[in-house]
Formats: sequence, C-alpha cells, structure tokens
Amino acid sequence: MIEQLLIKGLSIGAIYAMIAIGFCLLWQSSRLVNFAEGEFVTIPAFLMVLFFSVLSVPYALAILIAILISAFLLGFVMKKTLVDALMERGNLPFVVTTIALGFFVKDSLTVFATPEAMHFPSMIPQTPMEFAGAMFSSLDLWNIFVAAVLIVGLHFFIRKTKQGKALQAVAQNREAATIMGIDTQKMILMAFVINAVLVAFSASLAAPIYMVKYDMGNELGLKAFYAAIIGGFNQVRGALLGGLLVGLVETFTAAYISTQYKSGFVLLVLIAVILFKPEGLLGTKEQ
Amino acid sequence: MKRMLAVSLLVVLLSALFLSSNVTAQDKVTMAIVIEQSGPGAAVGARWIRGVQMASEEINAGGGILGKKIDTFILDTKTEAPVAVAAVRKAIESKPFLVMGPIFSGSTLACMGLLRDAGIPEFVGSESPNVGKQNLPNNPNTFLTSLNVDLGMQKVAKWVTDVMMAKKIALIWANTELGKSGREALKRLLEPKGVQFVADIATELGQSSFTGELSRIKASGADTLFIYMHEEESGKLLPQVKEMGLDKQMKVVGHDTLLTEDTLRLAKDAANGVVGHVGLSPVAAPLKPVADRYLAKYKELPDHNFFKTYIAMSVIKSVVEQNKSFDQQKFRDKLKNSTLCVKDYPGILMDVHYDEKGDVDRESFLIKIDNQKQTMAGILPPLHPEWFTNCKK
Repeated sequence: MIEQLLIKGLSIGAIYAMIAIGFCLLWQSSRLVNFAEGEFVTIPAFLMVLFFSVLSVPYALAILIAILISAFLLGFVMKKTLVDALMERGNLPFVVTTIALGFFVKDSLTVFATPEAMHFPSMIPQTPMEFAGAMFSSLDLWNIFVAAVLIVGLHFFIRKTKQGKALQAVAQNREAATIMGIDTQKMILMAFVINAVLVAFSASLAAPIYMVKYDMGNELGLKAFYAAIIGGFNQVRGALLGGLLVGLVETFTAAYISTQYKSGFVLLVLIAVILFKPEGLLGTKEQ
Repeated sequence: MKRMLAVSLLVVLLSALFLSSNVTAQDKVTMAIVIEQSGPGAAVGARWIRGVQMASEEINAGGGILGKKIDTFILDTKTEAPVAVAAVRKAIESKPFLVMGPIFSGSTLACMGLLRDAGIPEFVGSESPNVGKQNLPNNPNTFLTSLNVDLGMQKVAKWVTDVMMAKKIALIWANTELGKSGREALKRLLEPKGVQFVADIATELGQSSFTGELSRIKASGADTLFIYMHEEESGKLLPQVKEMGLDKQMKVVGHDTLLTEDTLRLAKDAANGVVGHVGLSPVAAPLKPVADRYLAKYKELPDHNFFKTYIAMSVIKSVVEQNKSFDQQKFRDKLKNSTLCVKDYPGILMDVHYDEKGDVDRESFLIKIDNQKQTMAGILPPLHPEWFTNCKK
C-alpha cells in the first residue's frame, strides 16, 4: 500500500509542483504573486475541451493550440496589461487584482461556457498497472514523467542558457541587472510566458483527474501556493519539493487518517515551515 | 383643451396598462424555481430546470392548469445553503403559487421553514429523510419528488443481501446531508443482517483525487464497494476505481447518483459493469416516451432529476384540477396521504403515493451500466403495494 500511495502522491504532487514553479518564476522575476494561478489552469483546460470536444480538432493539436493561446493570453497579454499597469505599485494591488480576475474568469466561464464538469481524456490510455503489489495507473507515471521532463528542461534553460542566466540575474537584483544591460521587462515577459506554458501543461495532466470545470483551479491553485511557500518561494527546486510534499502528505493523510484532515495536515506542514524555516525548505533568505 | 386631452390620454394609457397587466396576472400561475445553477450541483440543477420547463411547455400547450398558463422564474442557490435561503426569501416576495427546488438536502432543510411560514408549498429534489421529519406532523408543506434515502435504502438493503450476496461492504460516501443519511440508513438496515462494513469513508463535495481513500478500500478485503456520492464526484471516482483494479476485486454498486447520465458522461467506460438502484430511469418503459422527447430536444438522455420535476409538474396539475382552485392549503391537504394513478392522470407517468410526511412511494428500478448506457436489470415494487390497489383496478 505504501508504494502505491507513494506513486499516486508523487503523480498528483507533480501537477502541484508545475503550478508552484509558476508562482516562483513570477515572484523571482517581478516580485508579484498571481492569485489567479488556479484559474490560469482552468482557462487552457476549457480551451482544450473547446478545440478537442466541440470543434473536433485532433487531440495533440488541440492541446498545442490551447498552450499557444494560453502563452499569448496568460503570458503576453497579462504582462502588457495588468503587470505593466500594477507592477510599480507593489505586490498588494496586484494580489487584489488577480483575486478579482480569478472570480471574473470563473463567473464568465459559468455564464458563457458551462457550469458543468466536462470529461477530457488523458494523453495516454489509463491502463491499470501493478508492480510489487502496488496498483497504479499508466497516467500516474505519465504525470511524473511529463513534469520531470518540463522541470528538468526549465532547470537546464535557467542554468545553461544566456536568457536563463539573465532571468536569474533579474531574480537576484533587478536594478543591478538593468545596469548590466539586461532588458528586465523582457525577462518578466518571458517568466509570464513560461508560467502560462507550465500551467497549460499542468491543465492537460489535471483535466482527466479533476474534470474540466470552472472551479477546477480552486484546489490546484491553493495547493500549489502552499507548495511554493513550503518549498521556498524564491527557488524553483523548492517549489518542486513543495509540490511533491503536498501531494504525498494529502495522499497519505487520506489513506491513514481521514479525508477530512488531508488539507489540514498540509496546512500543519505549512505552519511548521513558516514557524521554523520561513524562507521555505529550500528557499533562501531575502533582504 | 390640449392639456385636458393630454391628461385624458395619459389616464386612458395608464388604465390600459393596469388592465393589461391585471389580465396577464390572472391568466398565469407563477412558480419559482430555486435551484443549483452553479457550484457542485450545477449539472443536476440544469436537468431540474429542464424538467420544469419541458413539463410547463407541454401543460401550457394543452391549455395550462385550470386555464392558467404556468409562468416560471429561476433563482440560483449556488449549491450553498445560505445563498439558497436568500434566494427563497426573494422568491417569497414574488408570491409564487409554489416553489420547485432545491435539490441539495442541506439547502432544502435550511429553506423549508421559510416557505412553510409563507404558506407556499414546495417540491424538492432532496432525498434526505430529515425533510419529511421536519414537515409539520400530518401537514406537509415540502414534498419530495422521489423516494427518500431511508425508503430507497430499504429496497437497496434487500437487494444487496439477497441478490448481490454482499458480506463485507466498503462504503464511500459524500460528507453531505444526502451522504450522511444514506450511510446511516444502510448501516442501520444491513448490520443486523450480519453484513460487515469493513471500510466506511467520507469524502468531500468537489473532491477530485481519491487515491488515499481507494487504497484503504483495496486493503479492506471488501467483496462489495458501495458508492454513495453526488454525480460529479461519482464521475471522478469511477475511473480511479478502475485504475486501481477495484472493479476486478469487488462488485461496484450504488444508489441513484452513481448511475445517472451525469455520472456516465464523466466516467465514460469506467462506469461499465456498475449496478445499482434508481428511482427513475430513462430506460424504464413508462418514462421512455418522455426520455425520447427529451433526447430529441436536448441531444442527451435525461437523468432522474429531470424526471423528478417533470412528473411533479403533472402531480401539481392533477391536484389543482381536483381541487378546482389554486388554494395552497387545499393543495397540501389534497396531496398528503393520496395515491395518484396513471390511469386517471397519464401525465404522472408512474403511479405515486404521497404520505403524511410528504414522502413518496412508487416502483423503482435496478440498473446495470453496459457500454456506458443504463440497461434495465429489474423492477422493484413499491414499499407499500396496498396503497396502489386502486391503480390496478
């Protein structure tokens, strides 16, 4: 049973981790927290259903179109409108605005799309698998694999490419990076676009489990936010650890204690981290 | 002269306006639909609304009720009891003849006192036995539209032990008024028969991942998994049941919500093989003609929530026409302890009895899911066949 819970916990944690990494990227580049991150998962999920189920576009193409539209809307348009207008006013106005944006997205989807949950198939067949007595699904392995590829790719991009190093420089000290000739606005735009792509990918992984619904982002956004705080808001690897930890804690709590306490135990971990290591498990102290 | 003419014209216009609105009000009977249009209950709420609207259209096309056309307006509960209370207060201001909804029992229990005090009868989609218990003794104001969970589970319990031969049950239920009353009834009815509940797991409304819960069930040694959750959560759960191979390890059974069209739409082929008891089904012979009309209109099969309210509208019509008036007290008095037969009122589709608590008794069905569709596996008689003897004559 433990092996089974481990795989299932990691599978769901991988989805949280991808969204949590988005939180970290935005924080590092712009010092902003996007409280509509959950709805940023919902939008591409609805786009996937629109293209695949309604317009009968081939599955892979539907996902690709949804990712591209998300990158444009949630990355480019978001940066050029709300971020540019609010960034200099600090984090609080942006937080309030994105909370409002989240409600606006949910209400709009309810009114103009549908309030009902919709089925969206997974990228691979959901085949039951057994290993050493543990039962899990091919989808669990797929979720872990896709998240690992994207996160390793992102890590490589940040560490090894010129653009990635520029993004790191902006994260460490925006003023110094500007003096060194780095186009900080371009880096912030890049962070928002990467975030949009990450949440769109996580939408494709979450949709078969959570079903596509206007409020599917509530739980995902919240858990990813916890994950980012637990792991460290200023470290991508911290968000990865936080995401996996949240997935494991809630899965083991539901199995060994009670469903009613599974969010409660995640919050206990969160409180413990805030009390004893406020910068997060892998985070670094900020000035 | 011109001024006098203008004043006269204004008086005539206002009088005409007043008279026309008065005539309109006299020609219609207003019903409020207080229902889950958003939130976790949105899907079932949508079917409920369609039931009222389709029945209203058909009744209006046939001349209405006592010559009055049915006029409806909708208020959203957002699947939250406090919002439902606010919606009911708003509905009461419009003085409707009666209220249709809500479905979620928590909302119904929060609202029913308000409507009783206002003297407005209501028909609800809720199945909690607490609704009947909270009606005034022998003077119900809130009427159910299907068997309450307690009564439904009496049929289920007999089937689970006698037909399914269940000995060890893993029960997974929604931590809501509906789920709690279902769990309580099942345990009360089955434990004296020697059935063991080897897992007894509550889940949350809106929950998506059930890994921990299903792992416990897998390790429980159960021979039967009984699922009693709402449609959306059931639709999410079934693929995960299949993924963990539980459908191969034990029988997967349920009651009503597990087998509805909404659950099947989300669960797809993961629902195949599931069996259970439902109050109203589109594959039941008496309901099929209406199901076909619904299919032609909405391009999908109706669920039990559609039938609940579609039938309730015909029940309302038959009672009002028996009374020959829209008097709400007479309506309550006439409906309680009464049996309505299809031979007298074809619109009600199935013979139905309303008891002194506003609870329903009638035939129900055993359904098996095959190829993502409901198939008829059997018909269960009413709990009190003696109430229906006149209908057979």
